[in-house]
Formats: sequence, C-alpha cells, structure tokens
Amino acid sequence: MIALVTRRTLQTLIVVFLLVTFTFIAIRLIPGNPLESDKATSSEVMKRMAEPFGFNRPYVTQYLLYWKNLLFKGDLGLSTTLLGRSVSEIISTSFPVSLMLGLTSLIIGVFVGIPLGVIAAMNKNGWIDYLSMVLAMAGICVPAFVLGPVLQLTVARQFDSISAAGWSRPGDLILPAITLSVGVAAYLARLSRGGMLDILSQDFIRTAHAKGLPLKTIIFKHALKPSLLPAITYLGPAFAAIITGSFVVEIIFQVPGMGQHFVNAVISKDPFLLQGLVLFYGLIMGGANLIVDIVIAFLNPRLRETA
Amino acid sequence: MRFLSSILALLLCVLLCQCERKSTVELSTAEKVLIIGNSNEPKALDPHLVSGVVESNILRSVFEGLTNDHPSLDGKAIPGAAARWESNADATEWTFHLQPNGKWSDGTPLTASDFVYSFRRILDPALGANYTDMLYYLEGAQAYHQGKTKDPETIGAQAVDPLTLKLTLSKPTPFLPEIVKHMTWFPVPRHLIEVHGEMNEPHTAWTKEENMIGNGPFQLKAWRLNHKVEVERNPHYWDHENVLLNGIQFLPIKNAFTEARMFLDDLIHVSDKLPAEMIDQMETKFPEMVRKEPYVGVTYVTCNLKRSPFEQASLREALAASINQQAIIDNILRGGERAAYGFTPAFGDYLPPRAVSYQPNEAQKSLAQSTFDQRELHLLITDSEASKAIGEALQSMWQQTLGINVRLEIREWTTYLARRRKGEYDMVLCNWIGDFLDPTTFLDLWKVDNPNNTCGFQLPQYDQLLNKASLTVDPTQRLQTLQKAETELLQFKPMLPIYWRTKIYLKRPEVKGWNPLLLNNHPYKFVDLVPPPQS
Repeated sequence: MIALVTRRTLQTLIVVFLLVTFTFIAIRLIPGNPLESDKATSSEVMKRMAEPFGFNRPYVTQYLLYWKNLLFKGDLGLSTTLLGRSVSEIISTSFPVSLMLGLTSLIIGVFVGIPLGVIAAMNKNGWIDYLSMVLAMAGICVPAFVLGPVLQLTVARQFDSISAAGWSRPGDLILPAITLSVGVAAYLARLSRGGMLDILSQDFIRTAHAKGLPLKTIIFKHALKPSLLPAITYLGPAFAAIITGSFVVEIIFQVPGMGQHFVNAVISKDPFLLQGLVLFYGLIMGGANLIVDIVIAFLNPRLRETA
Repeated sequence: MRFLSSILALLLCVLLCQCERKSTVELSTAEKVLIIGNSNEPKALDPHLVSGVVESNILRSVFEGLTNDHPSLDGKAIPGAAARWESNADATEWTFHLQPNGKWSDGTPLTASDFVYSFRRILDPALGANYTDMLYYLEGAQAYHQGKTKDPETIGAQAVDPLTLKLTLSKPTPFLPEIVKHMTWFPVPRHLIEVHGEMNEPHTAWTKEENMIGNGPFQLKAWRLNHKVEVERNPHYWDHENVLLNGIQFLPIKNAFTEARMFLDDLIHVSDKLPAEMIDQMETKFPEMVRKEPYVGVTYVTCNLKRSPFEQASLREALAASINQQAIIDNILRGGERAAYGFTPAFGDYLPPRAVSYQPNEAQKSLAQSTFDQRELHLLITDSEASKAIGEALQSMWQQTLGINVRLEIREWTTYLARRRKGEYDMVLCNWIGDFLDPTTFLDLWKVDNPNNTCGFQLPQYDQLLNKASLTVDPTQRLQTLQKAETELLQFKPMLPIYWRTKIYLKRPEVKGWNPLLLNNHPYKFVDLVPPPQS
C-alpha cells in the first residue's frame, strides 16, 4: 500500500509539473494580452503596466522565476484581472465556497443515484427499472444551463426562503446544489445499476440464493460492496471536478466559487491565475484518484494483492 | 457525520425561514441599504488604476471629486469636495475652495495638498496608469507623464493653502467642473498609500477592505470576491447629514438573465441591464420598472484607412449608406436606441451634423463610383451575443444592398482589443461611451495623435478645427467649431455610425432620487429608499 501511495504521489507531481508547464506555454502562445483594456494604451504605458508581473522579461526567465517563487516562497503570483490580488488569495477565498457546494451536491448525488441504480437493477426490465433509467438519462441530458433557470423560475418563486441566486442565506445553497447533483446522481444510478447487474449474475450470488439467504442479506452483505466499484471509480474525478467549481452553475446562481475564475482566467489570459488553478486542480484530481485507488483496493481483495 | 448534521440543520433553517415573509429587498429597503447589480467584479478599487464603468460605479460612492453630479440635471456641476470655484476670463486658471469640514473617512482632514499629490501620482509614469489623458488638461501634465520632464512641480496644480487648490490649464477649458467629477481626478489618501508602499507603486494593499479610506459619502465596509462590494455611510463626510442611504451593496452579476431573475425574486433594487429578449415581456408585466434612458455612447464601425480598399471614400460612403440602422434597433436591440446620423450623440446644446442615413440607392451609386474589386472584406467583432447579432445584420445588409461579401472575425475580448490597438483589421465594430458631457470626449478620438485612432485617419483641417475650438472661450462659438470639425469628420467617414446607445435596466419604485442621467453616474448621496405604502 505504501508503494501504491508513493508511486501515485510521484505520478501526480509529474503530471502537475507537466500540466503547469503546458499551461505556461499555451497561455503565452494564444493571441491577446492580459493587460489590454478598452482604454487605448500606448506601448510605453503597456510596458509599465507589465512590469509588476514580470511580463517584460524573456519567457524562460519568467518560467524559472515562477517555479522559484512557487517552490521557495509558496508564491503563485499575482492576478492580472483582479489587480493587487494574489492567486493564493483568490483560491483561498473561492475554494471553500466550491467545496461546500460540491460536497453538498456530491452527497445528494450519492444518496439519490446509488439507491436508484440498485433498485433499478433489482427490478431489471420492470417498470421501476425503466422509470429509473429514463430519469437517469434525463439527468445526464439536461444541462445545468437549462435546469438552473427552470429551478429559479419554479422553485425559487414558490419558496421565499430559497433565492433565485446569491450566496448570503442558507437557502442559497439549495438550488445550485440540486442543479450540480442531478448529473452526478444520474451517472451514479447508471453505473451502480450496471455494477449491480454484473454482480447479481455472479456464481457466488447464485450460491447465496441456493443457500436460501434472504434477498436483503444477499444485496447488502454480498452484492452491494463489489457492485459499487464502477461508481467509486467515477466518484474520484467527479469529486475533484465538483469541488473545484462549475462555471455555469456559479454564473447562473451567482455563487462566488472557483469555477468562474478558471474560465475567466482563460478568457482574459490571466497567466498566473490560470497556472495556479491548473496546479491546484491537478493536485486535487491526483489526490482524489489516489483516494479512489486506496478505497478500491480495500473493496477488492484481488487489487489489494496487486497493489 | 458532522457534515451530514450541518446539511440537516441547513434544511431545517430553510424550512424555519419559510415562516419569514419579508424579501431581501423589503428588508434592505427598511434598513436603507440599496442593492445594485454591477455586471462584474471590479478589477481594483484604486481610482488611478482602473478605467471601467464597473469600478467607477463603486468608486463614486467611496470618493468624491472637486465637483459632483447633480441628481437630475445633466451637465450641471454641484459642490463636491470643493465648496465653490472660479476661473479667470479665458478658463485657463481655476481656483477651487475646498469644503472647510472635508475629511477622509478616517477623520483626517482633506486638503488641497491631497489633490496635488493625487494628480502627481496618477501622472507618474512609473505607476503605469492608462487613463491619464483625462488630466492632460493640466499644464505640464502630458509632458510629465510622457517623461519629457521629471519635475512634478511643472504640473499645473498647486495648493495655495490647505483649503485652496489652484489649477493651471494648458488651454481654455470652460467645462472643467464637468471633467473633475471623473474618477481619475479623485483624491487618494497620501497618508495611507505611503504606509503600504511607494507613491508610484501599483496594486499595494491600501485598497484592501481593511485599509481603504475615501472622502465620499460612503466608506468601504466589505469586499467579497465575486460576491459583493458593500459600502456604508461615512460619518466623516462633509455633508453626511444629507446622505439618505445607510449603505449600498454592489453585486457583480455577470449574467443579464440571472440579474433579471434576481430582480424578479426581490433580491436587488436596480439592475445593471435588461436583456433585449426580456424587454417586451417586462414592459408588459412591469412597465413602471423598465427604464430606457439616453446614454452618451455610440456604436460604429471603423474602417482601416491604411488598408486597401478603404482608402476609397466612395466605398466608405456606400458601406455607411447601406446600413439600415433602424432595422438593427427595432429587430436586435429593442431598447429605444436612436439611429446615429452623426458620430457624437446629440446632448446639451450640441447638435451633430446630419451626415449619415440609410439610402440604399445612393449606396449603390457610390459603390459604382469606386474601383472596388468585390473581394471579400473582414469585420472584426467581439464574441458577445450583441456584437455577433449586429455583425451578422451588417454582413447581410452589405451583401443585399451592395453585393459585398463580408466575413466576420469573431475574437474574444483581449484578442479583439489587441488587434484593434495594433490596427490589424479591415473593419472593426466599436463602442464608445463618453467620459464627460462635452463633444470632445467623442471628437478627440479622431485626432491624429489619439491612441484610439488606430485606423490611420488624419485630416489636418479636422485637427486644426479641434485646436481652434480648444482655444475658444465663447461656448456657442466653440460648439459651432466642433460641429464644423464633426462635419469634416463625417464627410471623410473613417467610421460608419450605427446607433446612439440607451441604458436599459430595471428599477424598483422604492428607489427615489434616481433620475435619468446621460452618463448614468447617479450621485448616490441623493438616492433614497422609501417603502411602498401599505395597501
């Protein structure tokens, strides 16, 4: 297990290093200038504006300086769109919001999606199965930019304590969390249904039936754990994606999370912010995948031995 | 487990809150806290380092220039940080007498030296400010900013005594009281800035919420990234007894549809905009809340005169005359915009010459006079929905009337700006919003040395007329000269005017003292919130 963790950690660090390097090159290659504004600016003033960010230096120097500041000072640089704010400050203020929203959505998704999939599998080809899978397919197909406004126009109008958008009251969490969780729940329902059907056709389940074990025991004691492997594999990247924010949901519901920084950093060519977010996202993704590997190893003895 | 408990507690809270029937707007109206949609997160709150409307909306609450906007009369300056002012006969020397009880929001007296310091700071080349041309009216300002002299004493701003500021200008500027309302002329607190860095050091911590002070009717209370900027009443403001609100919240709502839904859900008092798709519906349901107000801005297409075939005047004539401006207004914008028959919008005593209109037959005749070889032309636009819709309409009009194929080059904002600045375009769709209420805020764009003039337009008689106007003290003669200059400009047509803009937004009836203003710079100290009478 230690070897697995060490290997995965090293892999993650290499991937993150490559990701940041690629981002560094890409953001500088695409056309446009992060300091450009609608107020026409002479090239002389533009140079002065670029000075605090080190953009007047050669790319190689900028790159080496970036890693030096990051590794020795923990400094991720300054944003060019939110002037005077460090990337660390932007991440530290927006990530807790995304984490709160993401975890809530994930919990809703898990508690709705997995039971839905299991129930569907237990009623294979019955109306419950068809209904569950129609709902799951609808959840996958309906995008957040449709579901969000529909919820705003229906649910928010009905309940005074649920706002159409904003991030000031407890009720402000509900609609964005539901919107984000629908896709997760739908995927989990399909994956857990597939997993459960696969396990239910295994010999050891047939043996359990032959031994006369009650259905509840067969499902919860013998089938559920191994049937969740595909869902858990999906949960790793889904967890990383959902807790680092969603641009669409944040814009629709006016949530001050991290997702919009990601998109805005690309659009406005904010190099340090984008590099910092890629680094952070890479680490979260690597960490989440590592946790999934460990969990799967515990759930599946064969994999544990391999690990 | 703890997290699950939190979620359950949250749900319980929501259910309990259900008993409470007062909306956010009702509660904040009772507290006299105005909630405004402000379209985006401010880039910064240093008035010397920002240039956008988003930032200006906030900064006008925290700072106050020498003069202030009248709550309902356009072009009228009322006392701000200065109680009164006078000028010499040719409006080149101005003396501003500051409010005797003027203070920063930390209680420190506001003096004339603070203004001198501020002007020197924004003009210091090392600061890297890009809105400095607003201060070029001051004698020596341009030379100092462009590094031709290193002596800040050469700038025409002098503190005669703590309450008297003398400004010496490079040319007669009878409208100076209009200009000094602009955020670039706001004072900044030397005693705070120099605690957090050098005078010319950009982006220091002085504008952080825990540090920032101003001299305006409100002071910064909270600045939550992508959430809200909140200001509260400034007890040290010279006129604080007459400030009607207790605070303002500026919400950076980027999506216009989200903003409209928040408005309908009683979450904001005033929106920043209203999507064209919702105008009809809102006007039917809530006519008293929809505001369509003139706004000093113009949307136009600039032709790159440095590129063939745009050096041909007849081609530019043809392109201009084949734009059905009214069709764009009626079918795309739907906000009561006006077809632009000139470049500068008509406001105050200024009337632009009538030089542009939709005349398809004339357009075809003009095209026939040109030697244009019917090759494909390119129009550079941004990736906003409005730009794309207007671009497609122009594309179709030029194709139908003139048979000219135009390809749209859709670029995202920073690439669009970079290409526009470098003159890398055939034609480019542009917007310009006036900085102050004088035609020169539009006409100066086409001066040969203006950085916005990237299309290669140069007409000596145009610059001469503008220079002549700048030396004319008599307002009527001055406006006549400016009108002549614009006539020259429109005869040449380096640009094809499309429409003069309006401001379309939503406002609740509780908001009082918020009147139509051409620059949309509402002086917040006069705004009030009055709950509707109980029915």
